[in-house]
Amino acid sequence: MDAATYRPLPPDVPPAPTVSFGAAERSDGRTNEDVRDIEMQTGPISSAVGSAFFQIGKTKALSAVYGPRQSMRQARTSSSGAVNIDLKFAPFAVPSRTSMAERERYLVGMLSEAFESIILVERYAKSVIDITCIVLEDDGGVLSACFNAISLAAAHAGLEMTDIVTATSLYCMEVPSDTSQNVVYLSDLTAAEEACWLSSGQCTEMHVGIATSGSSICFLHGTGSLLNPTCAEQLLGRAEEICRAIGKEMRACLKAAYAASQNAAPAKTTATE
Amino acid sequence: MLSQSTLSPAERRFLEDGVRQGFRNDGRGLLDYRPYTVETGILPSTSGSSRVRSFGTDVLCAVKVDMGSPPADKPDEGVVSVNVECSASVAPHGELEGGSSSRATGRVGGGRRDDSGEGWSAYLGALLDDLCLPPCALDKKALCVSPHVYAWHVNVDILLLNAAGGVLDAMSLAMRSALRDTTLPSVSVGSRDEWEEEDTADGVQQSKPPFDVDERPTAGTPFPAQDIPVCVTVGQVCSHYVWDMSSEEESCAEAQVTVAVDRNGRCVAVHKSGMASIDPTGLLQVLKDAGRVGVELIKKLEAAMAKLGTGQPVVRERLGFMAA
Repeated sequence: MDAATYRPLPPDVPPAPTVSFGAAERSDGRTNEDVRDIEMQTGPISSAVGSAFFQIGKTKALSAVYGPRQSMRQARTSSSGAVNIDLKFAPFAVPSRTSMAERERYLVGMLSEAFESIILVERYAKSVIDITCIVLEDDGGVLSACFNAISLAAAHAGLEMTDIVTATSLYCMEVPSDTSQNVVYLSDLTAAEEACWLSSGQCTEMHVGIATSGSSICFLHGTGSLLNPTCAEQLLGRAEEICRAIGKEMRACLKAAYAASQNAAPAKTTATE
Repeated sequence: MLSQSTLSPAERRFLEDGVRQGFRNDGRGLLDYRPYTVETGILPSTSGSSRVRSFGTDVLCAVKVDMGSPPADKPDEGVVSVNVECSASVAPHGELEGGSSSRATGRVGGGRRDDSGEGWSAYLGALLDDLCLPPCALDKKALCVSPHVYAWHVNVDILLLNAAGGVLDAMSLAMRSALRDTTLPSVSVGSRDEWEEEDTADGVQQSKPPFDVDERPTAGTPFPAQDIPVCVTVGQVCSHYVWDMSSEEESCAEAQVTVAVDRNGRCVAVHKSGMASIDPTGLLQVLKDAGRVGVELIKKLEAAMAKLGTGQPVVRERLGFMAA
């Protein structure tokens, strides 16, 4: 009978999100500009040509790249290759067990559009590159987390790309202050903050993917009432800064992975000798 | 195939050289829009409808409203779903498949893998929903009739009859005019005392109160959101920004930026598509221009709508449904 009364521990109820001015803190202790802690790793999936894990805060995305593989159909219909992205939310990724199919399709559309322009598909004629991405946990910023996971996995797979492209999500909203309307810029919302502000429509969001060795925009999607040039300039400036920082980390991560593989390879050969 | 043009290298060079000097093949300047033809109230069985045509691009939009339950997680809101279909005449024998064919044609939204282009249509629908119906333009709470019980389900069906450039722009114009043409019937929901409590296996469950519909068209109220943003798409051709591209220009565009603009020139959404990347300064210029271009477009649209007569179905002699 005890088994029947088992209940999982109640999740920590997050405090209601707050917007801060100046040096005050957000509900999770960050300032408005702070991005949550980022963790990345290459090669978690050994069967794939390239794979990567990307975590920002509690949001976790796992991506694997298979191919390029030969495709007669692709050869018939086009002079260049194709990128085939499959994105799935793990059933436990979101608190409520609702169908994520619509959201998955939408994210796939966005990411396919982006990566078809980032991966140099004309170099992969007659072939198809399959990319899978799994969202293990959704705590806000899924689009940019998946983008970064796929970007790192593609680089790890050695696909030819225009650049290492990283993405981030920026937000701004109008907060009435004593004197005038004050625009507050926020980086990297958590799911609780997204639920609080995004759905009510008072928050403007912008997801930006930037090629990190230059500063050109490879991916851009934004909605909200504050997309005027002034705010957009601010948002883009912040995005560039964050994307560069993530890009630097990605490069370091790839270099470390490469160095590890170089070190491991001779050791392997000595073992077989 | 959405963009029917496959340009030869010489044609392409001619077009690009023209753009560099500020001229386009059809004589327009880089910021000029082609005239649109807008008709509303063309499908009497729907709550609102419109057809938008512009030099080959032909979009039909129909709005149907149903009474339904509000979504469980948002009990005080209505539901709006945008559904795009590309008629078979636009996408014969699976031309929409394959990511790379879309690259050549520079199409917004990229290509999808399935034969029917269904995936691409679904993506376009979701994109339009996201760009043109953001919470700041459409308050879904206004579509709720009685919280937890009744809310309007608004189905916006967009049919692409012919595509020759500027598909997303035409679709958003069609959606705006169809929603402005829409009237929500006047509904009175029975009072709370009339609710009957039913004993079901799960316990006591309340049945829904009855409601009455006043079917006279004059009794209805106009759709609560009258200022649905329109999309304006700009293409980057040889580092110049070209507005309202023809299909030939679309196939030369390295990148495209779609901006949704409302009546006050406020940009409410932005989306980049296409192959090349864009630089931030160019993007800010696009945002500035988009406000201007969008306001002008909406002004012209409203003038045309006013001429049609607000909310009244257009009565005019026509030879057939598709007659111009």
